[in-house]
This record gives sequence, C-alpha cells and structure tokens, in this order.
Amino acid sequence: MDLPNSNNLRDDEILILSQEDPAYFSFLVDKYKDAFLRAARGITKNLEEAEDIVQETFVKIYKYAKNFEKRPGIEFKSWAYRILINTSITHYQKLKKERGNTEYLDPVLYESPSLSTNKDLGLEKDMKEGVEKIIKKMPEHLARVLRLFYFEDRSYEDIAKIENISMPALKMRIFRAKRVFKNLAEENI
Amino acid sequence: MENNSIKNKIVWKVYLVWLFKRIIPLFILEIAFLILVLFFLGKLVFVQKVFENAFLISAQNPLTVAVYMFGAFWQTSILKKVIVLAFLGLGVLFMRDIGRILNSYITTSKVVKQK
Repeated sequence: MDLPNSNNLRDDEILILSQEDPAYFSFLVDKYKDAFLRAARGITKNLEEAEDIVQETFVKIYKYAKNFEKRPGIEFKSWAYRILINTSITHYQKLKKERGNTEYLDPVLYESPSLSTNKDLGLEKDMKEGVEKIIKKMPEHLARVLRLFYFEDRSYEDIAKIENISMPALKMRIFRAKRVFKNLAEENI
Repeated sequence: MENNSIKNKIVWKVYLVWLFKRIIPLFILEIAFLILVLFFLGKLVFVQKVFENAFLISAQNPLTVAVYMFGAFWQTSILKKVIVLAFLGLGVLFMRDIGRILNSYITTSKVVKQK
C-alpha cells in the first residue's frame, strides 16, 4: 500500500496517523531532518553527534506523541524543536560525564536558565536572539570575543589575532565572558 | 545521500518502537486469551470428533462441510457457542494484527527505498 500525499496534512495530523501506521512518520522526517541537523550541528559543532541527536529526537517525538496530542494550541514545530534542544543538552551532559570536559556545546549558553524557560526556546533563531540580548549588556571586549566565537564560528587562533592578545589571555577572556554571561542570564529570569 | 541514510535509520527505529510498544503487547494479550479459549474449547468440545465427521462429509460434497459446521454450532449449548465465537473473534483480531505488521513493513520499506 502506498501512502497518500502529505501536502494536505498538517504536522499534528501526520503525527496522529503515524501512531496507527509508522510509515506516515517519514513525512515529518523528510520535512524536518535537514533543519534539525543544522540546528544540532550548530550546537554540537560535530556532524556525528548531531546525527545521533537528530535520530534520538525523532524517536522521542514519536514515543511522546501522546503528550503533544494532550496540549492543544501548541505548534508541532515549536514542540519538536524543544525536544531537539533538550535532547542536545542531555546528550551533552552524558558525554561530559563519560569523557570529562566536553567542549563542543557550551553549557553556559545553552543551559542558561533564562533561555531554557523561554517559550520559544525550540527555535534556534530565537535562542540566538536571546543570547544576543544578553551579550549586548556585557562589557564590549567580553561581548566581542563571545560573538566571534559563537556567532561567527571563529577559531581561538583567529580571535587571538583579531584581538591582538595571546592564547592564554584569550582563553581567560572567554572564560570571564562566559561567567559574566551566566550572571546576566540568571538576572534575567 | 547522507541525509537519506539518517532518514532510513529513523524510519526503521520508529517502526520498531511502534511494533514493540503497540503491537507486541497486543499480540501477547491476544495469544494469552487464545490459549485460554482453546483450553476451554478442548475441555468442552470433542474437537477431534467434529473434524472427523466434517472430513467424512466433505468426501461426499465439500460444500456440506459449512452446513455441518453451522448445524453443529447451532445445536450446541450457549456456553460452547460463546467460547467458539470468542475463539473466532480472537482469531480475526490476531490475523488483523499480522496484516497490520506486514502492511506497515511493506509501506515502510517502500518509503525507505524512495530517494
């Protein structure tokens, strides 16, 4: 049996149908997998980790579909992104336990309470806006290194050159910047 | 290509979740009830004799088997009727679920093959 065209179906309808026939779920995978991969890769900076997170996220979406059905008015996209972000954080914490200090995801930026309680957390764009809002309140030299590192994806070497400082000094500056960011984020709760 | 392999993995994982969370528990329940019903059926009905008679009749005219079976069912006690109906009902449910597993497996395989 072939599946009908998904054009006329809403995401939540597809999710309900997939509970009876899991093949329907492929429509949601087709629609969101690339965006999820981009978002997860933006957080982890690692393709393999991002793929694991995306797989886990989709399985969770399917498993906990009942939770979504019980909450009318919530958009599927927003709910799904929230699961993606939570899965990324859980993944990060697990890796941190297993491997010690894991660098790829910055807990200060992604576990910040003011961001994790944000209703639109699921959307990467909103998350970046939230981060940017806090960064604007920071001293300029600290804000600059965070922007270069997180928003422009520059390496330590690049930033050290731009800022004209040594590597240890840069690491110390980023460390201080994160601490200031965290304090400001907590003040914003 | 890479994204398609992720899609395939996700779709099969979801199929397994569906199978083990929704279908297998139902299957186990149906099998348990089927065994129970068969146990009572075996105690109350001399099944072997019924089938022997049906076989003898079918040698003359295969169509009369249905008439014989229906007649045997009609003349039996209410309790036995209920048990036979329960057996048939559970059998239908069991077959329906096997059909669902196969159908969903085929659809999922098709979805996975699509590029």
